[in-house]
Amino acid sequence: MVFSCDSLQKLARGLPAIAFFVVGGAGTASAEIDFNEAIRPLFNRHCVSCHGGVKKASGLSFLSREEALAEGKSGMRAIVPGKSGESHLLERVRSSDPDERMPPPEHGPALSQIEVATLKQWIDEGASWRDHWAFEAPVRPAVPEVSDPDWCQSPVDRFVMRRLDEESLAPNERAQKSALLRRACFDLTGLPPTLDQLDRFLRNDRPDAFASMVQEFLNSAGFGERWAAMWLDLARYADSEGLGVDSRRETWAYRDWVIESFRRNKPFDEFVIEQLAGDQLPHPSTEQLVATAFHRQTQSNGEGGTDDEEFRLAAVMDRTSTTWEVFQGLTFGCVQCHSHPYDPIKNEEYYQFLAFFNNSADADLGDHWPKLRVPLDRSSYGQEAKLRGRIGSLREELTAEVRRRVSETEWRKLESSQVKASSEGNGVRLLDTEEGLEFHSVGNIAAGTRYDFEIRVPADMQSVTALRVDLMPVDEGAARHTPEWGGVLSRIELEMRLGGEEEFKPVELARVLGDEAEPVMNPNESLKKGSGGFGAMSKIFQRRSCVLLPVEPVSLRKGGVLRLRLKHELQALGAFPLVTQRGSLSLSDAEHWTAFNGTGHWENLRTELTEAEKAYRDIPATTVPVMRDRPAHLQRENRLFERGNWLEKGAVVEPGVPAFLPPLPPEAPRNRLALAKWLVSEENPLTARVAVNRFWEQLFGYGIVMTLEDLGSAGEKPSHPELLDWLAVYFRDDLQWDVKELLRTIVLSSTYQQEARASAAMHERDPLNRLMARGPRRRLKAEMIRDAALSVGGLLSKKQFGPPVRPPLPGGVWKPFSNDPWKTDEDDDRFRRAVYVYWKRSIPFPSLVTFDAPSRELCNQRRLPSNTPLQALVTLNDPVFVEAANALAERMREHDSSLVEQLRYGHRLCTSRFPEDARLREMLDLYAQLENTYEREKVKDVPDIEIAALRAVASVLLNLDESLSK
Amino acid sequence: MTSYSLLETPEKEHLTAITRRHFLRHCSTGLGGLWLASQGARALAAGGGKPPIVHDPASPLGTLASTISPKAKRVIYLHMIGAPSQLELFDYKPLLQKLDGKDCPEEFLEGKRFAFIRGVPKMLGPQYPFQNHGQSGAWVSDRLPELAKCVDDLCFIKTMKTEQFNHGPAQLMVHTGSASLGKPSIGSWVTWGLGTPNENLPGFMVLISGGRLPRVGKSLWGSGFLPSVYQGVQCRSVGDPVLNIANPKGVTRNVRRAALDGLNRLNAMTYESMGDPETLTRIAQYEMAFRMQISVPEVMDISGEPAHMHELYGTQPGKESFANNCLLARRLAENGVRFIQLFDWGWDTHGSNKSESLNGGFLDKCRQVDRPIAALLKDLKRRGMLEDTLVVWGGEFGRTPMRENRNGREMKFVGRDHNPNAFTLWMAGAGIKSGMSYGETDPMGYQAMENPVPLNDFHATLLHLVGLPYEQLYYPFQGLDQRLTGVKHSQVIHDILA
Repeated sequence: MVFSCDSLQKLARGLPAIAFFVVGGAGTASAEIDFNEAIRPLFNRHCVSCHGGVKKASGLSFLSREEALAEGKSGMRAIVPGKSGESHLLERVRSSDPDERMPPPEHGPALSQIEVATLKQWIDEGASWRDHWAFEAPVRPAVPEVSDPDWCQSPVDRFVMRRLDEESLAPNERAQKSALLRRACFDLTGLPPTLDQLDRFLRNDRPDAFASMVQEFLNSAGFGERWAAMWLDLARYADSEGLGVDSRRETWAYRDWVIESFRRNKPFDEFVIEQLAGDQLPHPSTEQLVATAFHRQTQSNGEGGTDDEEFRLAAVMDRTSTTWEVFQGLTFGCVQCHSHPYDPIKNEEYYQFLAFFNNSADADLGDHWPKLRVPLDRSSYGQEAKLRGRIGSLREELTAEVRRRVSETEWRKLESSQVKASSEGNGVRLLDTEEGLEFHSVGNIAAGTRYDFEIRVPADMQSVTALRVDLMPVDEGAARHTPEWGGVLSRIELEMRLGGEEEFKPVELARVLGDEAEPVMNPNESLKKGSGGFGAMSKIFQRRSCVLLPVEPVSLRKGGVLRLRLKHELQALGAFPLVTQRGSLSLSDAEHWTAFNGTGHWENLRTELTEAEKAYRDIPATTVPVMRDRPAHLQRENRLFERGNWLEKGAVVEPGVPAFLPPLPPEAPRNRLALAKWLVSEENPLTARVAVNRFWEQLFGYGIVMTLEDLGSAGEKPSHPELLDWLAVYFRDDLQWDVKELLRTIVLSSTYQQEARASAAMHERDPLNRLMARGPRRRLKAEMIRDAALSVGGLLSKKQFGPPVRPPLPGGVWKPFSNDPWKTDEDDDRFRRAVYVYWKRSIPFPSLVTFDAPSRELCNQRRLPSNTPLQALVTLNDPVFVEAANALAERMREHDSSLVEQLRYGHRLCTSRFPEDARLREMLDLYAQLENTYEREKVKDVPDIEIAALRAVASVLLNLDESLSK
Repeated sequence: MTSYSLLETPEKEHLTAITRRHFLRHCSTGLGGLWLASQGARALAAGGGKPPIVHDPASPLGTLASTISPKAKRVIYLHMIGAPSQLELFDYKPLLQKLDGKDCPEEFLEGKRFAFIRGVPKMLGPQYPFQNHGQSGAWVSDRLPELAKCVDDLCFIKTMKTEQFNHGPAQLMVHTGSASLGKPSIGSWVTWGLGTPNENLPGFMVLISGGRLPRVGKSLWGSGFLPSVYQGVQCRSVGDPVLNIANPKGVTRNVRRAALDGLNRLNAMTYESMGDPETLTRIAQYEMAFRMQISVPEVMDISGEPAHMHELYGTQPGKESFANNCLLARRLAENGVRFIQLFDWGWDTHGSNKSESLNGGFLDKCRQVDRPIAALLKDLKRRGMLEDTLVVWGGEFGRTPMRENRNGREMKFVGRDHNPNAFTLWMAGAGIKSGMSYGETDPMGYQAMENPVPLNDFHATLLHLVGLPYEQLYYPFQGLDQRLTGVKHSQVIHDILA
């Protein structure tokens, strides 16, 4: 089949879906049809919404060759390879009968002639199928021959020039040195170059002059802050918890970890592994645990009456989709309810993947437990890790011993005839079961409920050395995956009455032994005042056990009675009283409990633990929420959700990765660490591509694949597929994930160093600069706008790290839902870089959000730059920018007494270059106009007209298009 | 100044004239072609396919024609944050009165989740007397005497339903069609779809009363994946009406004008040398900001309204109040703002304390909104604006016919828990059948029985009224044509249209 090139292009203009095929195949129209370039987009556009992952109408789907070639419910075959005449599909798409035609008229327009012809040719050629390009591992492509090899400084330029050659375009000349330095300095450090840097660069004529400046930028402290700003959008980092109450949440240690990781050039694979599974590395360092706060940035809901399990799962689902978005560049959230509409991801694979995250200990609890204490002084990190390690192993050892003894003890079962139960609050009743005596709540669960059990101790028991109290879900089968509200024993009291006596006397309890090494609350709190203690907080998935050890074994004469009081005082979210709904009681007279309780080995361990815990608490620290998994015996059961609804569970699933990607190594454990290693393995086709695409986007404004968030089949095609693959393999294999080297390679390319200027015709031909026949020119990002203004005003604080800062805010902004006062920093902290500004999700910092910073409730992959009047109001009137403009005017005045020199200096500070004469004249004119206006108007509060006019000029300089761009 | 001698005055004037002419020529006409060329560039940049709506990037709020003839030119949406009790206002249930104090029947509790109710609660009869009003005979309780006089202009939907029973997600459901964050709000969709007639004001403005922001804050008026220029602009009655709208101290309007003239000329020079159309857009945005600096404070200043207007609405200039916001809503509507969103906080009547109870705070809230809402309706009607203004009133869900028994205990104050199964919303004005009630709840007012209206149908209806068929209003994002109505099939409720 042959089309004339002309008609092809004419047709293609109306058909974005196949435009790429036409461009790629220029002059080779009769060549074999490429499935990924011509056919898959056609299926996605016209067919898959009914014949795809969501709906498989008539049993037909176009997601895989197998499904597309199979017989439909009608018994006919849509596609018979090599035989377009027998392919029912062609008949249907060509039909003029509206009842027959596909897609049906109400769903969309008919296929164009060229699309039908393309389909026909493809079927006749055998209907070959290929995986979507991004799902096949990148292979290092050959570096192409180009028209001007001298222009090319690296393979990057070869791939770019090859495309320019195809388009008969030449690259722009190299940018002016000042413009180039400005571009690289903002890109690498987020700040404008200093005048000293500019001078040094302009004076340096050596061929490596630019490279040495780039080296300086890569080494600078600002590098970490600039790149952290990118990553924190992905990590949805914020200083507040989000949804509902949006209270402050202490988590800035993670922000500092990101800054430090970039500055110290942590290899990207380690960067990924530590964030996803730092806690599962052997003997994790403080930093490796802080890194796991990446997935603790999920929102939590403290609104009264919200269900902790619902929002625990919301966080787990967020972790699932964020992992896909950040590291695999695919949208995964939609697979929660149904198979992926375009990409080969099945509904159950969503839940297999979710299972990696479903066993974490966190559970939407109010204080963001579990948290790590992060020493404020970094030199104490080693001490923290050592003490934490010791504490952890002591707790493990003690808990394991308790669990061993509990299971080996022959507990004396009780019967209801031996026990008298009463209660305050809701009711209680006893139930004899094969397992022993159970107690159940009766009626509405009431806050502050107390259960009293009077136990007639069996006559043959000489003494009681231990009491065991178990808490169970009412429905143990369902609770394993869909938990019930738990219960917390806020206070446990034991009393005894000997035979013949009237009064109960208190029995002193030595300790409460729980069943997990790292509980939310110390079980011994049950013995003290306060609402905490042993229990299932705030939900119960499976039976929980504790053992009460009296200080001395309780000796009871015949007829002796024990009275056990279980008080509940905790309520979750002001709405759910954490009252035990089902439990059991049993006794032991085994002597080993007394031994365990007494002096000797175990007591020595306990003493050591107490001391270590005290030493640990004494390290001055901030805290950060971290990832930790529940112990094996408390694991949650993973199940599908029916239609995405967490209240309706389906079949059991095990952790796993989708089948369209390479499998996990068979011997690997099914945990987050294995998952993280799989992501950065050589076999994973996506991670390296997604990463280099992101870095490219930061430098050029657009990714090689423009849809950073979707490298799947519904995303945009790469503008330079071979460049993307070359960079991916280079980054992963040659550079061993070295981020700074990757950035250096790109920044030192001729492509990056081009002049940004372009003709109107070129802007019309390539408005987004996809061909890269010119250098990138973009408005500064939100953080850079603020930091640059402070920097040129000479105000910017160099202080790094620490708690978030609160610069001046315009009045009326700060009306938080919960108590969270904004105390404006009065010292230099008000001039810290934007990355340190307190980030509250419900009230994002106005000057940042106006320049397209996201509020970071969810992973944000890409900021789409806008250009709005509200931005003008920020840079003209916001108190911070007014302060910066005034400071700039002062700098200009101090610089020189001549107005011309002042203006030249100010212009250079703001735009990194001296103004040419015409601009200078314009600025002088502006100054004169302003001076006149001030004179004429006799403005109040303006004692010095010259200063006022210069300040107004400085404000104009800050607002120049050039000042706001790089 | 000494250095000033660099340029002789005549030469300078000449130069000024040249650049000004140059600038004007380029910016007003000559560059139209370029703007057209970069049309849709942003949409392309957003990825996926091409959205059905493309704005001139230099004038992103410019009016676009709708594809069907719109009944409503603008929308005023009054949201009572916290969910007002339909059972004390509009949904009269005599049977519930009879069951007052009795245990709730098991069938109401089976398989239901509540935010605060535990175990078996008691039924709670309507707390205030109801009466028929107007020719339509609509039931309204004695808590809203002024609004009761307007019932013949209203269309009640008694059977609104939602999927969420916590405030945050439920508010998001109402305003973005989705319980998760990151989706555009109704106002953003409408402003994106239609632009706005007065480009000197934002197309979508938000006014807040009741002393607190809604829980999810600005996400309720966010633009989600739509360009940020379509997000709601929150206006304040204290301080700057719009953030940073006032010039800093010592900068007069003429000083600012002179500064902007210089800025524009310098930026025009940048454009000439670099050729980046974004520079032109920036010039246009600075000019619009300058115009907004006049138009926003002007429209937000109610002190010039005549005394009888203040009497009608119950307004006091300079205060933050729902009444002031109602009067402002009328002024914004008059001045061509497309979507006006009012949030009034304080309707969450659980009975957990005095201010959040049906026998406490609820009385104050009713008093605070009754007169202003009636005034707004009357005022719009008098000005002939009710014909092309759609007014919507509602909350994020309804309240239970059971009395709340938080923590399983009887509470000191009287209140009701959250009920997503039925709530009342009313609409008035453009294209709406007035004096009618749509849908029936069960005799307890617990479930929507006849003609239930899920939120996506309400959204489809609202979009229909402003001239945007919901199927055609989509934005390609994350591989899906995203809609306010979500992926579900929705239907316009034709029965309530005039």
